[in-house]
Amino acid sequence: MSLVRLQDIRKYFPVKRSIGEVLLRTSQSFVKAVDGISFEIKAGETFGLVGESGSGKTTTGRIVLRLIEPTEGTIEFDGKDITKLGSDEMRKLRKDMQIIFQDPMAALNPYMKIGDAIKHGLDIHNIGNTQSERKKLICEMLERVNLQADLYDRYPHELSGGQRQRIVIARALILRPKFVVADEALAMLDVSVRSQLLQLLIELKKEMNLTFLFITHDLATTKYMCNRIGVMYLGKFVEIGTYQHIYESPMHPYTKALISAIPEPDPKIMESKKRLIPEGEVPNPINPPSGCRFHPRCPYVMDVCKNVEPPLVKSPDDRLIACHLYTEKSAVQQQDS
Amino acid sequence: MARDKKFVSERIGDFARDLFGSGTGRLTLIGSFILIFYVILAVFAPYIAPYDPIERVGLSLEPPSKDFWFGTDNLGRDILSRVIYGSRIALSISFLGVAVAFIIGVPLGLISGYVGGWLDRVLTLIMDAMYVFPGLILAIAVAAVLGPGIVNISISIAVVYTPTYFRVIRNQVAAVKDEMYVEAARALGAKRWEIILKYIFPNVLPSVVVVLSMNLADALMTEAGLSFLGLGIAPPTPDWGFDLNSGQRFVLSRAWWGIVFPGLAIVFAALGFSIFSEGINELLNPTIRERR
Repeated sequence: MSLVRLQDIRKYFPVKRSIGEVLLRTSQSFVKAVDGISFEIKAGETFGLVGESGSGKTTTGRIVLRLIEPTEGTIEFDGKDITKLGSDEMRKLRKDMQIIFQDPMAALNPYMKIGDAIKHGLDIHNIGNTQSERKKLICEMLERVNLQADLYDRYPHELSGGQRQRIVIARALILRPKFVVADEALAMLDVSVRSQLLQLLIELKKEMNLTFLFITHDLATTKYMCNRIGVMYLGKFVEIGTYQHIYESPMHPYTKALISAIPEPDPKIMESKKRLIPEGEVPNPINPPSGCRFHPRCPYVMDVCKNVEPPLVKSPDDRLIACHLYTEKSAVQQQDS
Repeated sequence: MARDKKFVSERIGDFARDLFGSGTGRLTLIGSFILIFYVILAVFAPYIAPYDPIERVGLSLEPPSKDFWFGTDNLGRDILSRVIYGSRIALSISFLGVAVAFIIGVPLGLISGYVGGWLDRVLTLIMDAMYVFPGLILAIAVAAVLGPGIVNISISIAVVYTPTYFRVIRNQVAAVKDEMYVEAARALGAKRWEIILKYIFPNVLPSVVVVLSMNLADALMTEAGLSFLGLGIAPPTPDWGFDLNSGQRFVLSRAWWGIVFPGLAIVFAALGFSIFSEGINELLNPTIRERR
């Protein structure tokens, strides 16, 4: 049963025009951060979202929680369409959907004590009947994320980055949500702390039966965390599949390039490994390339790629892929009709 | 834990060292002494002043002497006593005026900056229109409509300074509202007013405190200007600006004391506020502090 389902989500951010452009009536241009994506996350599953910076992963994560309103498309949560939900109902629902932010330095209000920061969620959703009961819950949660309960009266600037990220995790999970978006939650931490927190997230996921949307550009962590992985490029999915699909037999040229860029611990393997670095930069999302968005950088580019956008279709081994190399027939048919 | 057990006196000591430790810090100390001096004058005026400020106690225009340190004015009133009592009006009007400006300007700035959209545009337009008026002229216009009295003068001063608070707060809010901790609060399900009060307000407050202390000096001058022009407190209540006005009529008869002493009182009060606010500014604004 799917807990979260996104259908045809688009998010276009208008580009600010100068006064001259407004007067000359230049047409409004948009940054197409997310351009028509659909996916679902089953209850208990961890869905990984990978891609370069600017591919729209973070925007997608915000849209799922309706922290950003989508330009188009529908969001379903727990079988309910929440796209047009009023702000009061949406607030109640936020208990069930939480987010862990990327930058633990910026995610905590510098003027709020740690305890109050965590308690605010409990206050909003009326969890725990008395203040002392809430305090007890918070101390338990602090201990669960391996922090001392006496951090309760400290301010964020007194803590280290790793400690703060544990606080951010505690603040999100104390509400006992069903669904958590982890937006590059481990990206800003150093390696030893990162592996500890990854372990912690895996444990908590099991304990609390959480469903995760795990956004990352660090492919190695998805290996330990994710059941399914979606690869995004310029606001669209190029490939969605299980860990085996993506890692062991990537099909899309972009996925292949990403996987080949993962560093290997063994230098011998590293030397023998062929690196497929795509040529050039990520194109401008204001004017994405025609046809397949990856075609200017793709080593296998064909004529059809330049004009026809490949649809995301199911391949024989049950993954979803958007590439003419594998869907040539259907694409040619589209062109004919 | 040991580090939590800090004595209160030690904490005050640390704070004082922060405030007064550096070179400009000592200036802050001087500023705060001047401020405290004026506050004491205002509060204990009846005990400090040698005479009743509105009674005739000597001859007209007596020069400074042993009996009348600052001399007497044209009605034979003791100028020293009038200067001491005058600090009451000066301080209470400037504090009240700035407080009203703060109470109106800050919430409007918070709402305008957070909500944005057309409300923000309309409020910004109104405030900018008020801001471009020269301060004293706007105050004169408002005071002329409202008439004399402590509250009315305070309101006309507040009108001048409200846009300052509004602008500072609004721009700060516009910057802070995109911070991740504000988004985190929204993700928790916090209501708008909770986000404004608990997450945004504490983060923009330091910049206002600076404006607050700077405005006090300005407000004091505006008050003196208004009462100099006869738009202040009704006589015979002692008031520096008014005394300045009545003193300047007798400068030609060589009665310099009638204008010098109230004038000095205004200058020192404004100086004290300015020096103090400069120090506060540096304390709360680390980028300036590091430059020295």
